Amino acid sequence: MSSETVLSVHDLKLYYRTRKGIVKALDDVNFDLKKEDVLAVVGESGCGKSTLARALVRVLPRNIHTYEGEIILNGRNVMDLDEETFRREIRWRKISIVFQGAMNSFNPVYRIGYQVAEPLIIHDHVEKKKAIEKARQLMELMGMPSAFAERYPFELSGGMKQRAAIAMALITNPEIVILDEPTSALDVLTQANIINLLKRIKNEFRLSYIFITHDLGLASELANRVAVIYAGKMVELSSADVFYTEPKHPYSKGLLLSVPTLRTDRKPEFISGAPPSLIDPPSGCKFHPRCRFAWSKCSAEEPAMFKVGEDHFVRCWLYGDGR
Amino acid sequence: MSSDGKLLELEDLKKWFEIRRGFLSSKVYYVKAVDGVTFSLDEGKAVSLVGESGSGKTTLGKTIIRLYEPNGGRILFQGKDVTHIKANDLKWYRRMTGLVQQDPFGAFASHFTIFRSLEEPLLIHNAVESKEKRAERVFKVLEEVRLTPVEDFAYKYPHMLSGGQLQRVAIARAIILEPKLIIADEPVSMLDASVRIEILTLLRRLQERLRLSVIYITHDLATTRFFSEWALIMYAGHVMEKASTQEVLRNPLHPYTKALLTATPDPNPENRNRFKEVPPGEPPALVNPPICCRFSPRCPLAFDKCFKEEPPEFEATSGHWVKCWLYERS
Repeated sequence: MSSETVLSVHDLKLYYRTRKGIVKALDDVNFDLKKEDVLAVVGESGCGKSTLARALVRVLPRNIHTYEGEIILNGRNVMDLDEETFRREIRWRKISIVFQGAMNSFNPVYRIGYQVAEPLIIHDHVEKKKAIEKARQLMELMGMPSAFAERYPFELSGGMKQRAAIAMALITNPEIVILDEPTSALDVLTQANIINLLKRIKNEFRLSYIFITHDLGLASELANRVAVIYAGKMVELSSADVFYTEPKHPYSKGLLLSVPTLRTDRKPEFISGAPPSLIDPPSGCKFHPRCRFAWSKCSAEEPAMFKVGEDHFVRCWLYGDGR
Repeated sequence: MSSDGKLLELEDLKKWFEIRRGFLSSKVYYVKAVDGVTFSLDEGKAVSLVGESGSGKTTLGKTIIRLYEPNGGRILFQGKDVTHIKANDLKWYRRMTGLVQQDPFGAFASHFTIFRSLEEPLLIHNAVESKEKRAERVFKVLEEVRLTPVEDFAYKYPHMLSGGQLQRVAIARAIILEPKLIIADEPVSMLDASVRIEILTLLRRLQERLRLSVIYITHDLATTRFFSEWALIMYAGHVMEKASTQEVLRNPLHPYTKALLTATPDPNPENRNRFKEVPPGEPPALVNPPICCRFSPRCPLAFDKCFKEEPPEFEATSGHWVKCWLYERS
């Protein structure tokens, strides 16, 4: 694996303005993504996983309060680009996304082939016929009969629509694909087939993925790096090999212990309590009210990301200075 | 109660949905959602119904508690035939059974407090006479599902609770009439991983404490092992395999069960370096399905007979049944 960094995110913040107050949906997010890396972003619902995906491709709602930080793509800070340049040069050209439930967002009145080809027609001004031909080839590569290009969305099964959504994300040859729960509505066998497909095309196209999921088992199918998000903050960033064998953050440990397994006899345990409100989060470490190891410092002061090993960072006082 | 401790017995249970195609057409088709299910459940035990979407597991659950009327076969509850009961008998049966559905956010009337939602079954069934006694009962079940302090939760509205808390209320509502059987239809699939285990642990504890029988409907094999004694694997309206949960997970026999086990990922960083051998394709349509093994088009081990004849359930080892021609004794 080469070590070329394709994406580097520094201090990314995204706050929403709501009637009840400011929601700090993402706060101080930092990570690097290398060529052919798969970074799994895991956490419970409402922790900011999908917000991160949206922030990276700048698909944002209107009630933005703060949107700042650096998103450096191949050495260029794309936060400086205006909307039009970002649309023309970055979104779908460099970073594309398979949204959660993408398979249900096809337009019912257009043929699948045309919809898969649409980014080419719009971004590259490719002639419609040629674009559809390309879509057809790509769909075949995704394990769909190319005749399916002539079909309408309702004529395809969930698994086939998801393959089409992936083809649509790949048609402009992006470097990074964000997968936001790409298999969450699919059956177990179909899910395994899609994961096999994602593995294959990653190698074939030399892609990097940001894989957003709440399922740690599924994450391990693709990821070589894992980022755990809790209440809008990254709390652990590590290689998958280290994360799955020795997670450091108490939240990461709890999450891993809560996964029921088929192949071991370990009984799953749960983390008591619930994630905090992002409008009025607890003081200090946001996890301290649920943490077994919390002491006075945890509620008083928010920990920084401490380096605990090679490319391994943890936001927890247990690993902080003076401990 | 029948003497052998069996609470529920299903004999060749069928639920077909009728559809008509074309205007004025007299041709009738059937979606054979549940097509011949036989099993029995002891008092105080839990069985997992495992299957993918469209396998008929939800239809089976709803047919068991008679939200649907079966088209064939029999349901015996405490030895009594409840297959086609009506009116007061059905009302009694409803009282003996409870249902927890998948979506806790859609399970409650938004203008009812939790107290009112829990009081509703008591009022409908006229189960408790006085207002004070009803309140007592509501607080008792809230305590049972560990929503404490109960006074805090009782007067909240559904939108003020989290998904996990609402699912506890749904469980409280299902047990408030002191039923014998609970159907939990994907009770945790909309919840976060850490909350899932909390809810399943609670269900398990109630099952043991109140001697409830539980039918746990799920698509996730991994959760069955700690939360049920028995497992039924369903595919396209048929039960493909049934045995104790431990036996199904340790010694799966049906090619479909084996594929499900292979496809279910455990957290393990080595997963990313290998591809999974899973059968391609999708489950068949259930409109007039062919009379053969319904898994045969996807089965890697299928041979001639599989495409021609539907296999019966063979008892491969004691108590372990499998609907597959591979296990026919010659």
